[in-house]
Amino acid sequence: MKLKGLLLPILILLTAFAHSESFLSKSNCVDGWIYDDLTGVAIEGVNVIYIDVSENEVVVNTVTTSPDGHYNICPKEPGVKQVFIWAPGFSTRRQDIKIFGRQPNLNFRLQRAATVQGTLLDASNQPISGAQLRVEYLQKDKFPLLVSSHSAVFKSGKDGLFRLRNIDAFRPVRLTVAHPDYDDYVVSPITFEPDQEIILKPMMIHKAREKTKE
Amino acid sequence: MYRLFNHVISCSRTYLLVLIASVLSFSSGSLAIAEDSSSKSSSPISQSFGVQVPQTYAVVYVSFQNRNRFSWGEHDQECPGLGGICWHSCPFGNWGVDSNFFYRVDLDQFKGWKLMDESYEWNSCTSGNWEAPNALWYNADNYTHQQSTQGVGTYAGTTYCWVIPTLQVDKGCSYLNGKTLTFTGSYMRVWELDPFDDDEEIKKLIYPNLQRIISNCTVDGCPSQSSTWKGVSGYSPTTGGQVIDAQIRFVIEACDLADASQCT
Repeated sequence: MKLKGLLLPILILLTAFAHSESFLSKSNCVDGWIYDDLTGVAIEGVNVIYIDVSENEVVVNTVTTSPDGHYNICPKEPGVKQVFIWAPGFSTRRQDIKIFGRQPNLNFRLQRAATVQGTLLDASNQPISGAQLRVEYLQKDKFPLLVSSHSAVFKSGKDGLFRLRNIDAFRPVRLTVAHPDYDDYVVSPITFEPDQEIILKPMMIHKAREKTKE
Repeated sequence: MYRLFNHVISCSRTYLLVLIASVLSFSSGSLAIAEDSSSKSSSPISQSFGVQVPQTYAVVYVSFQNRNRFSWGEHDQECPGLGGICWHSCPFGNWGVDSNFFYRVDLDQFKGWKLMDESYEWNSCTSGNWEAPNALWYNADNYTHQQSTQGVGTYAGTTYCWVIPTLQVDKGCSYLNGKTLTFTGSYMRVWELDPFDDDEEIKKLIYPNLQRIISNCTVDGCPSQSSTWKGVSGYSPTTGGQVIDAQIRFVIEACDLADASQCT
């Protein structure tokens, strides 16, 4: 009889525990919306990357925002989580997010990225095609995974034109021009404003005197 | 610098990987100016003894590849403009890929079948004069579909800095043996590229998780090893008459040891 009397409270306790487990696992999630800092419009397709690390596994997770700019991430463990956020056309962002229990929405605003374009000419003002233009950030991302969100390298066209997109705003870069027949040309540091489209003056690069082709 | 670029140009197949590797090495050089000593990490054990032991990392170089690329249905990305003027090389166009870790670039990220301007391109206008079947504009299924002739291609690359516990530093890269690397949320968002105009999105291909248990690494490095090929698990948008298909996988190309100046 006594056992029967205890059964119901035990069942209730077990059910409550199961629910609390379910609640705890869901409470390790964070969600929010990501907006264009310039227009305030929600951005679709933003990559939100975070990494779950355990003793024997590394899981690199990517969540992309829905058409209304919504994201939802659920790391395996609570704690402070590094998140890397990027989307074509916008500057990248790295953020430490505290994930403990229930949390309010965490929203982000992404600054527009910059574009730089120009023309490569030789000493006789002839366009140079096939030169490699390379953008390197002088300050590295503090994230254990390397993400190349910008068009890191571009080859100049037949008319010497080049266009490099998705360069982070307010982040010093080094621009290097390399061509087997010419001396390297380096511009550093350059910093761009959000949404800035810079058209560089024609860059003149000079024939290499003693450079040997490999 | 010259050597780097020459290498990049000559090895188009592993181009993205080389690029990633070089970005990492270049970054480490510039970090000497950007970082101060406070950014150096050390292990909890070393802290407890009051000795600053630099953290060691296994830097894993990963490339992402695609193969079995197909296209069918309606495409209107490279059709003539007003007055029937044909810009660029219509109807053929070069396709690029946005993915989790890499932006679309004009580097054969989604190789097609028609050699145009040193790239393998796709018929990107399937209406009007370019309707199927036609042996000039289509190369598969009785000239109604398109199929890449170029085998495996690389569309992205990344590196991951894997922390090696202080007491196992002597294992080097072999510390990774038996450990699993997983990528969730993988996708390829395929675009028809227009260098001096807006690119046009074709389709987003969504994939299941990619996974590999790492094996056969030695102290100094890991041999090339890959996840299994995975097919498309979904599309976005789910509607629309244009369809493309491809399989993807990741390849662990190499492992190097590094300190905090190269990893964070």
